[in-house]
Amino acid sequence: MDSLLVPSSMQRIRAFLIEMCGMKVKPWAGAEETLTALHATLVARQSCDIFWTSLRVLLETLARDLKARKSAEPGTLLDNEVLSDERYASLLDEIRAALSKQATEPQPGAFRQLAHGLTAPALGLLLLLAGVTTVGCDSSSLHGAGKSDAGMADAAVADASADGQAGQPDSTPDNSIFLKLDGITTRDLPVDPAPTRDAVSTGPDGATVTIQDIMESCNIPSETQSMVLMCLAGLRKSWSTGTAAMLAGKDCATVSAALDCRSYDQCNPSLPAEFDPMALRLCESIIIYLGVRFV
Amino acid sequence: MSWHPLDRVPREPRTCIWELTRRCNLRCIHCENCCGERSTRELSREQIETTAQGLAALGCQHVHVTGGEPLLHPKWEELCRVFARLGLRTSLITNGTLLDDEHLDRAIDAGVSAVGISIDGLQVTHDSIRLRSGKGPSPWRLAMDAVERTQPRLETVVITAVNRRNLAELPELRQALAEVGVKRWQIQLVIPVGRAMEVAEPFVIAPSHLEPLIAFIAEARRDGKAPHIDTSDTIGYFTERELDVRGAAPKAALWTGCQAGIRSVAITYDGRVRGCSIMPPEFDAGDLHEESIETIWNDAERFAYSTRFDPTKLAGACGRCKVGPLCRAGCTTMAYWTTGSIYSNPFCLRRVRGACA
Repeated sequence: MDSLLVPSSMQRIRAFLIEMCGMKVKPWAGAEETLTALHATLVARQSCDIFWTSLRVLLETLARDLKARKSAEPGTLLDNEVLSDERYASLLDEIRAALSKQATEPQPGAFRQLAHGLTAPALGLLLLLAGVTTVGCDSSSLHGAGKSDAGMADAAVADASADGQAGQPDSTPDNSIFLKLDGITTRDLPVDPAPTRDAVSTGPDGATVTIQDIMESCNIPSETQSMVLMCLAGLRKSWSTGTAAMLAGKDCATVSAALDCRSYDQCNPSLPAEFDPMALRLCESIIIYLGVRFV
Repeated sequence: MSWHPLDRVPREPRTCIWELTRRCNLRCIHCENCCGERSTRELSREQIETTAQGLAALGCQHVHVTGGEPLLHPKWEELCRVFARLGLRTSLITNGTLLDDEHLDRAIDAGVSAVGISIDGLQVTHDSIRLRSGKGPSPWRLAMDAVERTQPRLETVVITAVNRRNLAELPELRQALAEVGVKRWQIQLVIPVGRAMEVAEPFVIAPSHLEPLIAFIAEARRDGKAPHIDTSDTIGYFTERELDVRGAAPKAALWTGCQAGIRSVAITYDGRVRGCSIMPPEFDAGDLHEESIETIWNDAERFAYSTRFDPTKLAGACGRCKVGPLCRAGCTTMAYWTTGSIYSNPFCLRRVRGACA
């Protein structure tokens, strides 16, 4: 095994679910689906001793991996972890708490009380520490966490899930992914195209032209024009001037192709802050890559 | 669902990677299938012909016949003839050690239109990776002889799987290939799978190596000298170098996500169907011992990782990347093998540069 490659938490959990639990987790399941499957397993197998033994191994492995990642020199390990540190920590705590359900001597809910008043980041840090400190614990200390922690873990997971959702691209409605990655939707942008009217460039004949002049001269559909202007209004001025300068004097097919591409028709969120001709070059040159072939 | 360029591409298995056999005379240390001995589940000649007919009907145009070492399949020639008769452009992907004049004549006679020969570095490096199962001549020498032999008679592509042993010698290898007249050179990454996971030393390159690798490819493509480099799906994505490394000039092509299960399909040595040959078994879409290729392919849900790719699941740095929904985390297999998720891929120059922070 390449020493760069410490398996990610998803690889560990997936392997656990498949090999130890016989579950069929689809390889294209996202992190949340995989964790949901793990959680369901924790609930379903409460009375299976073999399962709990295996789970303890998983916990120790995950905690060891996390510790290795955090103590490694930058660049010495592959950045292949899918979960954020907080999510990872809450996961460890969930497992630790689940193990504690097996405890024979319930402990008071001190941890729950302590954590109750903490903010989410502070709670995450606390859980992280709690997870890491389980490395090397013997089974008694794992069990000794007390039943009450299980309830805490449920709450923590719920919190972390909510946090995770907040960090995800908006999934409703479906077509919002390209529109909202920067937290700005086309709906949020001003409809007034006035800013781009200031955008002027010099055409081949020396006359100044705006992007709107260019579009009108090429009979670009009004819907596209509106979208382009709306998008440019949400970008810095250099985009308007730069785009006009780039398209001035170009034939209408080129103009149409450039404006029709995703950079404008969906307010491509990948556009850099200042005008970058490369972004338009991508548009002009776009051919869908259909793989390497040699016959 | 958000719009994606692949949504506009007709879904048909244009390219098929077909592993005829697991049998191989080499024991390459990075072999994804741990090839060596023949599998008892290999498809029969009849099954192969039926499947090839199905593929042709589904719109397949290219079949890359590989293995193991395909020339060790007892009926390789006959099967290539079947593919060619069905109108499938057929290429042989071989380690080159068995491709003597006789085999080359037979391949041409069977309708093979191209040959891909694996060369993973200069002689010492290549021979340290592509180990013989017994004593004999240098595999590198045999492969280079095969290249020289094949080059004048068939479209010939040298395939190099980049790893830590050969990364630094790519310029020298390029020179060596040019000297024997190679016109096309496919460069891909070793994926941490199969035997590559068991190499004691660090073998798979680190993501940080992508910067010099992509710079080399871009410069080599720019100077226009042979061999022309074809950059594989594992290398990219979305930096200013993208259009310099992918596609064929003058119209460069833009990476728009993995096409496994959309435009490509793979048939494993034991008859299982996947979108790509290096995908692990959990990506199996079906088994040709039990179902026809038409039944398997026409059920798009079995290839949901591509046909229903959900950009909202992008995770890690890819989840924060602004072009993630377009890129789909690069090579699906590399992402999965390195992170356990098809939604995050550390082997990405854009990520390495911190653009997805």
